Amino acid sequence: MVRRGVLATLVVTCIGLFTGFFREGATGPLHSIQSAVGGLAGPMQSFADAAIQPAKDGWHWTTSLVGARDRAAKYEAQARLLSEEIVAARNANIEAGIAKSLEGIKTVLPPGYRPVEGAIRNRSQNNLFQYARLDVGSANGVVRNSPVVAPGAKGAGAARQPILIGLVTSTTSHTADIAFVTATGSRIGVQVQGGSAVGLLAADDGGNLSLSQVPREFPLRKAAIVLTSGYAAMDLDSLYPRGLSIGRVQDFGAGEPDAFQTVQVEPLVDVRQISGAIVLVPTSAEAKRRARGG
Amino acid sequence: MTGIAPTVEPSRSNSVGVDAVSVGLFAALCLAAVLLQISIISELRVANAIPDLIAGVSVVAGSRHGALAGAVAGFSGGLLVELATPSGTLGVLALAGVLGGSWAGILAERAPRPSLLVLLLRTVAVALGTQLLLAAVWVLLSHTLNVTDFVVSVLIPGAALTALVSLPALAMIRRRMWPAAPAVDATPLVEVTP
Repeated sequence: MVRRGVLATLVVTCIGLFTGFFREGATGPLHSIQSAVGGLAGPMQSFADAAIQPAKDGWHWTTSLVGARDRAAKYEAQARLLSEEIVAARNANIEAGIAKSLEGIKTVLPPGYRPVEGAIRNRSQNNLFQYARLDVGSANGVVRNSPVVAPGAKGAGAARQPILIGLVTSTTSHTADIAFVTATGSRIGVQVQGGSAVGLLAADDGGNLSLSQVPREFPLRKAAIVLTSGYAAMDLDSLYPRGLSIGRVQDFGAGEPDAFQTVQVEPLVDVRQISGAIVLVPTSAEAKRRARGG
Repeated sequence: MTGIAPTVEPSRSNSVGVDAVSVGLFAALCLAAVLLQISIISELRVANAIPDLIAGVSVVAGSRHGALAGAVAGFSGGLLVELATPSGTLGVLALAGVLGGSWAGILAERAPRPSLLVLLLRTVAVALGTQLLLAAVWVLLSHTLNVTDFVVSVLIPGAALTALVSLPALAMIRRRMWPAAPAVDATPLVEVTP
């Protein structure tokens, strides 16, 4: 009898937590508790990371030997495509204002933002492309809605173009939770390089990106770079600055009677593979306005 | 001459009662599993799957001390993992732990000293159940689920990784918690009276 009572209580508690978590907003008490506990777990995770780093290095070294040939071919292809991306970013008039040294390589970032480098301490336990937690937080100046980028491949002049990978959704003093661009429900105002196609880039439940409602007559080509447009629906300011690369056009098409076409976009960065990222902390008035949501 | 028949102590290997030492041991085991799960284990990724250590803890607790202990261990482990990681849910892993741990406890009432294979199969089953519950919640929240993709990139590699990682730990725990029964001396105890 006691056993049944306790089991029932545990089940009801779980359902209550689950329901409450989804009914409250992102700033609700359960989310706050989760952030606080996540902050407490941060140092332990750092310690564990440091402890297993030699083993991880050994494993990565071993696996890198095994797949070296395949990766060489893959990286060669990526380097070709990313070279195109650098040219595209220049054409899109990215105002290269801040250069940050990251592992000895300069990263060109949009003006009005200060880069804060962080390591990924944790990820969502299911659907690894959805959320992650960085080891930098409000103590480093990180605020909610700060864009998060990862450096692209090395290009001309040893510069790496920043690739948009997500957005900070909540912070504690020493951690920041980010939702990747591939997280379900993600919507980003974008434009396709070299054309007038604009729209909202959306992620589906499987982490695939697509741009819908693009008029048929708009010219598109495969491998064209998709960049942030700097504005969202109805010409409202986007949370993201203009000109950050996100992905490249993988495919596009429409049924015969349709007036619009759908563009499939392949992310430039596989967020499941990265171990660190750069948070763009807004410093200018415009950037801060974007982070506040307009 | 009267003889006293040898008395056999009833097996206590699956005693439902839990003493303070066992509670402390399982609390430490649970905490260690959570810490490993959120730090090291999440690095062992194949496709979109990672091993599930909490499943093993709840199965061991349930199999050793009954459904209630299994449920509490699974609840605590699942909730801690959800609190410590940006999982996007709260209560789902805990619910999976409650169900898995209590299920393992109910099964243990039939077989008090499970073999290593049985423990491993139960662990994998609980890990699979956890993923299915997460998928059900995912669909419940009006998301779509590609079943083929889910089976190929989450369920199968998740089960394999869980089995691989849990096997040595379960073998060690089983040796400590279910020691082999001592050989019974068949010689009857006989008391001789004049």
